[in-house]
Amino acid sequence: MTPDIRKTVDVPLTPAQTFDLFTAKLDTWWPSATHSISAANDDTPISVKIEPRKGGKITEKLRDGTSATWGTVTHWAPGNRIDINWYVGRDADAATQVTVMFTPIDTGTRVDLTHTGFDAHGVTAMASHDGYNTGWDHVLGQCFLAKCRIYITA
Amino acid sequence: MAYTHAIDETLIALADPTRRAILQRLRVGAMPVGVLAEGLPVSRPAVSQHLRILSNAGLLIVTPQGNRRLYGLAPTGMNGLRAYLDDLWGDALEAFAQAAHDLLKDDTHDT
Repeated sequence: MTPDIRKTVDVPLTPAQTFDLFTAKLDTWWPSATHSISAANDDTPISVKIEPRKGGKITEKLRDGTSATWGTVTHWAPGNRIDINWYVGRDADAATQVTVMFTPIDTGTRVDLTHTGFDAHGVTAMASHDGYNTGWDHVLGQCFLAKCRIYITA
Repeated sequence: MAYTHAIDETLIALADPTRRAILQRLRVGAMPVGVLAEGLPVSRPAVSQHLRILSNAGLLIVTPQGNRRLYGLAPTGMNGLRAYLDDLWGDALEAFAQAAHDLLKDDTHDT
């Protein structure tokens, strides 16, 4: 089975500040020059934003006027935790799962990121319940095969 | 990027609904092409073609059994994609930590 991804970083901010930087100010730190749909065309996005609520979308606005959804927020607990169903493209129900936990420590806040669901089980799960009209078809079929390299996916 | 070629193969393999249906079917265990084709709305030669693509992408393990071959899910099939995302989150959190330190400096100057 494919192991989960686990990453941890400590930052010198309060959990509330850290959560705010991670979400509301995503645009200020995300390495979108290399990690975005726009990056596939040697471009940078106009913006990358998280809608601050459960059910909210993470959306990249491209310079050609289109936008691409990276994921959907499935758990929103400011200062504490955010869960995201992570995928690329519109209409996807689910793909892989990202959880980010914010824990107070002596020096500030510990950020624990976990990305799970890499097995063929997870990747094909959506094909079984939502027919063929999924974000995967859009992104992988149209976007990817049209030479749009995927930088953030799964 | 070192993983790009492997990811290309993986994503192209996954970009087809029939191939995803094949992976889905194989979750219960390895099976020969004949059994696999019975549950799919495409011809057996088409299934064989899809199996070749999935196999070339490293998503399948093919085991000879007598005069036929069994197709099963490769447990390491998603490793390339996973490794790529591992790098992504490494880069992203590094940039995030930098931004957090910058923010702290700004706050210190402000107060």
